[in-house]
Amino acid sequence: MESILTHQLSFKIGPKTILDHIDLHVPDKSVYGYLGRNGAGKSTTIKLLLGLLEDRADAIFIRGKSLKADRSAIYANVGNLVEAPCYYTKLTVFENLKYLDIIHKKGNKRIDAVLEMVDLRKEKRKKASTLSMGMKQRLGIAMAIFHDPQLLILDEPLNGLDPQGIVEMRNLFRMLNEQGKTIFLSSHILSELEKIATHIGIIEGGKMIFQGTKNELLGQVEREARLRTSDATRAAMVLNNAEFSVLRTEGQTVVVKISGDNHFDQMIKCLVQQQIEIYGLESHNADLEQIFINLIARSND
Amino acid sequence: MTNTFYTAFLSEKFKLLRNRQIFGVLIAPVLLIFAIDAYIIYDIIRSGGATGVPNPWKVLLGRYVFQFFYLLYPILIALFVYACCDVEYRNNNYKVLFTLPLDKSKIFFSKAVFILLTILFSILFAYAAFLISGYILGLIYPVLGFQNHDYRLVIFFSFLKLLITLSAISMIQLALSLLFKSFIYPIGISMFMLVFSVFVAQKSFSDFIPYTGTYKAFLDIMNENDDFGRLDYSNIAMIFLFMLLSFYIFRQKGLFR
Repeated sequence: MESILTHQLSFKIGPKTILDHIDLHVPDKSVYGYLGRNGAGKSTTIKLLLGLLEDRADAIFIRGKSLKADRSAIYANVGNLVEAPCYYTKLTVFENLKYLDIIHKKGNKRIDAVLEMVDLRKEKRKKASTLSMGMKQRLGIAMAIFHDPQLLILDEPLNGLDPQGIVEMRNLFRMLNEQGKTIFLSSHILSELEKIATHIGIIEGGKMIFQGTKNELLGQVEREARLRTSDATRAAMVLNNAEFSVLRTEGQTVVVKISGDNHFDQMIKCLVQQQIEIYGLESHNADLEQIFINLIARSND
Repeated sequence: MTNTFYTAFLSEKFKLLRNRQIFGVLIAPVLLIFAIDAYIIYDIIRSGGATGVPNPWKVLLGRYVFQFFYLLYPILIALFVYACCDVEYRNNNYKVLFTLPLDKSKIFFSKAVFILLTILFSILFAYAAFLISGYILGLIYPVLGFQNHDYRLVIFFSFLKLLITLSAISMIQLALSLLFKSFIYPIGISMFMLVFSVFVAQKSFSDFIPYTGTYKAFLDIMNENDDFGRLDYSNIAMIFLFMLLSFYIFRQKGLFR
């Protein structure tokens, strides 16, 4: 089952198209990283998914239910943090969660457990307004996960956190995902998304330009492998015969274009079988940031 | 069941009771009445003794209390209602509110009922303080003659009309507070309407302006008027009319934020 499914989701403000026929497929129990430049339509998508903007076409389905038809039942199982954390400044950290407890009826033990998870137990009695920016972010996350939702929709959840906090939150998201929760998150910290996302969606100018698993995305990109061998000319010939794409030789080094991890393995096997010694191996891996930039540039062409 | 009006009301109550403004609405009128008592006692001591007046409920207590009420109460209500909306404006908390597993209608009406109940309790406390003040002053200074006048019906109706007027004002203020994020507009409009209502209070159309109600409550207690009039029926209609208008604005807020 898909946790989030949209059918040709579109949204306009006046004549301006903000989202253009978006088909989101967020698999159950995945960590879905939603990427896009500023103004690409990420926050609009998230607001639509949460019902903060009206989806007139009934194009959003959360855990199989239409958002338009079954809003309240859906929200019982969805946690969210959109842009900045929301909390009541006149309430203490504990009272903010107690307020949610009145609605979700989880009990004080759950409040303590959630405060432990986000490392806010010591600040339990502090007024929310007196917390530091990072702690407010943690409180926002605590409020999002308080009712133990199956789906978390998080917009820039790592904003304002220090490096230690980012690592802790990453571990928390991993733990929640291991417990079977689906996490849909947008973040401009691509290196963090790369570490935790299982699936990626990239939006540009209101259109989805990529959607799939992280491995599919990384696999799309052609990489260069540089092999320092005992005999570069013979190595180039062997690899050419094995239908690898040899780009050039540079002294003892053969430069080969590869795509996907399997091809990389096969190339090494091939050379070893032909008793060509490999002295060194370098592979330039494009990271998510580079892939993102390339995809955006390609879509704009 | 989570999605019930009772749950929505409990959560609103929990959150809004932390507002200092609520204590202003509940306690300020009572304190004002006791302050007026203290002034009456001070005036008697200063003048060397109490002298009888035709109807002390009206001439002594009612005159002072309702004169203050017609200026003070609408502003207190405007501040209180704005504070109830302001908790959601801060940190854009409407995002939390509208993603709770509660119907928007239940959230809104629990907020509106909480406001109306607070005003009811405020009036009840003020009414009790008014009666207690009269009885205590009558006990301390029997010569004032509080015990000689049965003015309970007029007092009851004056407070009842005040309650209806303030309820109507609260719903207008709710619509304004939902419409404008800035503090200036709802409070500014309430102050303008208050001054405006004094000028137009004698005009026949003023019955359709709820803000004239507090001034007219003062006139009622002075003129011993315990009749329900056009103003009161209009105010009752205004409560429902502006509650529905506020609900419409509230729903739109959820959609366009």
